[in-house]
Amino acid sequence: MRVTLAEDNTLLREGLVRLLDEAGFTVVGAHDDAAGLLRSVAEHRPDVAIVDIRLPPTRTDEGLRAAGRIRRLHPGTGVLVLSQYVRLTYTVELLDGGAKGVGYLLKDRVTDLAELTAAVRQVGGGGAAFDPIVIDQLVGRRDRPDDPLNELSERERAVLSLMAEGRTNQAIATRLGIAERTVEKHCSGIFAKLTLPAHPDDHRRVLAVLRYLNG
Amino acid sequence: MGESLVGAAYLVAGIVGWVVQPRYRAGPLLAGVGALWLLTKFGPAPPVIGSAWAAVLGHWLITFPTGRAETTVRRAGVGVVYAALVVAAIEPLAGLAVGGAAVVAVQVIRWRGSAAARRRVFSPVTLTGLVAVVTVLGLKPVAADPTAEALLQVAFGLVPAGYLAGLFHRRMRRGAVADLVVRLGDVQANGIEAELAATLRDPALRVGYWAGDRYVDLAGREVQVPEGGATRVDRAGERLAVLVHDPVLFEEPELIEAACAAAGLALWNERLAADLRLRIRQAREATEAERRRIERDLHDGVQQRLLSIPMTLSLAEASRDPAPLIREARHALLAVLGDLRALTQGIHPPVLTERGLAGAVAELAALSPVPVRVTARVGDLPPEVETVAYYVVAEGLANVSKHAGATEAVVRVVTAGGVLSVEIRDDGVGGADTTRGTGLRGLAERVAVCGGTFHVDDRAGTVVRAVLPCG
Repeated sequence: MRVTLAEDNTLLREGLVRLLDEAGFTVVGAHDDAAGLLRSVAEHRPDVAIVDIRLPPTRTDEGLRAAGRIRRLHPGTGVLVLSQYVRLTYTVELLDGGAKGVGYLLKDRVTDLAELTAAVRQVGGGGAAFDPIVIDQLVGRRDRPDDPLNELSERERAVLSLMAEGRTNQAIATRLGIAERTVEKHCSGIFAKLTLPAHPDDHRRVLAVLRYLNG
Repeated sequence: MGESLVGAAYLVAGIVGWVVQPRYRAGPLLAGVGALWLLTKFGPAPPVIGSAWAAVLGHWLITFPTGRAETTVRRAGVGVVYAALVVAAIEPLAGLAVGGAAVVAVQVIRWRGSAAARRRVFSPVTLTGLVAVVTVLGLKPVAADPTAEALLQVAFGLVPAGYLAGLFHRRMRRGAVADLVVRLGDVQANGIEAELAATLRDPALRVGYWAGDRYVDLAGREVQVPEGGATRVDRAGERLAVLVHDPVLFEEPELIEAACAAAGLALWNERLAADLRLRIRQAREATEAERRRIERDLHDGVQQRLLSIPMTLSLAEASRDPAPLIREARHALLAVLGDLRALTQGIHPPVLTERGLAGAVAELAALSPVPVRVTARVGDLPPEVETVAYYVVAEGLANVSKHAGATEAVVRVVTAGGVLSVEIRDDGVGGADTTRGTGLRGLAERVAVCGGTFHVDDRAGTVVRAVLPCG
């Protein structure tokens, strides 16, 4: 699996390259800014681009914007965003356009070789790797012994898995051959069973997907 | 003849006083004394009318200088003086004694009051009045004696003379206010307070400058404003300062008004300085508290945990199976990282750096367990304004989820006209208390340091509102 990365801190960048080498990935580029990363992705078409959120020149959210560009321009390259902090609003932005080949993790998670390997493989294989903190922040720790995902009906599971692929209700309805209103009813059922709080911006869709992915 | 002259002197002095001080009743009262006195000289009058002038004179002395019985003591004194008329109708000397005693007693009570009130007792008027009363009390029993008779007339004649002298003196003090205007041109620090104290002859006079929510002195310390012992000074319809002074100065409202008008501009200048010092003081205190908190967090959390890591690692070096110890060290290090992250959040929220205020507010809203609707229209803001606004929203929303029992909240952060308005509104039960706990009160201070205003209204739901200058 081929990987390129952007991280402005030299020590961390070298560390990541070493860890990825160790885990058997081919590192095709290691950059200290978003522009270098974007060139590298366009040139090498790697399986995964790993990117830190804060990058020069402003060190604000260049990495996140680069991630969005890569997802739009190069759907074949998975994007794994790393940060010192995990933000719900960033997660929502990243998941805009589906939960395929995308990940967003706290830097802590990738200090462990096994966790880093798992996350990169997941994203490179078209899957998703999201930090459990996002869900914990919102719905609290899972104190119930039974996983609410198990309470979903077959149909609700099917709807949720299509939702995770970034499909709209209309697309889900067409795919499953049911009415759009029925899809909406299933959505409400999913949100209720996963005890997701109502939000005007409707983060619930994203949350349900995250719950499913971390299930 | 001499007696008629004395009466005429009262009448004339009273009328002059009436003209000079139309707002006071002292003039008419004195003129009344003269008229009643002259009445007794035109022929025998009934006993009560015959000594009525004495009662009015007592009334005048007790209520000097306004001619109004403003306190309970003075009202009682005036009552006693008129009651003494009835006593005098039966036994003239006893009536005189009762009335005279009332006048003396009121003056003694005034004397025991404030320093400024004490000086009033020594004014030309009250002194001559007292001399007259004492002379009458002493000489009336021997009034048939011609020397005593002459002395009595001189003593009585002194009163209108003293009154006119007093009027002249007040004119002079108006002149002192005019001098004040000149002197205020180049007063030194804290000079206005001293100049006003001198002009109004109240050494204990204090000036408090309005600082938005309280009065402060030039050093930025709060000035307590007692009920009924202070005069507010406004300028261009805006609250400017307060003079904390002796209540006795209320007897000369026109003097205070003149002094305040004269000092207005100088007070306005000094208020700017006082306000600035208060803000610097608050900023210094807030910074100090913040430093202490960071030091404590670093000492108790990060340093202790970091120490444990080399210890674990040296154990690993000595161990034949180091893997579990190395894993333990790694976990400890990650925990320190978590601590540092929380600490950074407290110093400056990282999301502000990454996304600015609008993005940071969106994140706060997304994390709130209570649904939040956000309106954010903000341009580039000064960093310190952005940070304070962020904490207002963070604390406001924390309050909503903790105490309000609300089902929905609305957050507005909008810049318009050089100010940033921050508002957090919920539909809960209200009951926010800025005096309890550090959350909202700490916010009020942070907002004040930025030169803004902070209000909490919990009559219907809770509305937390901060307005911050950002021009």
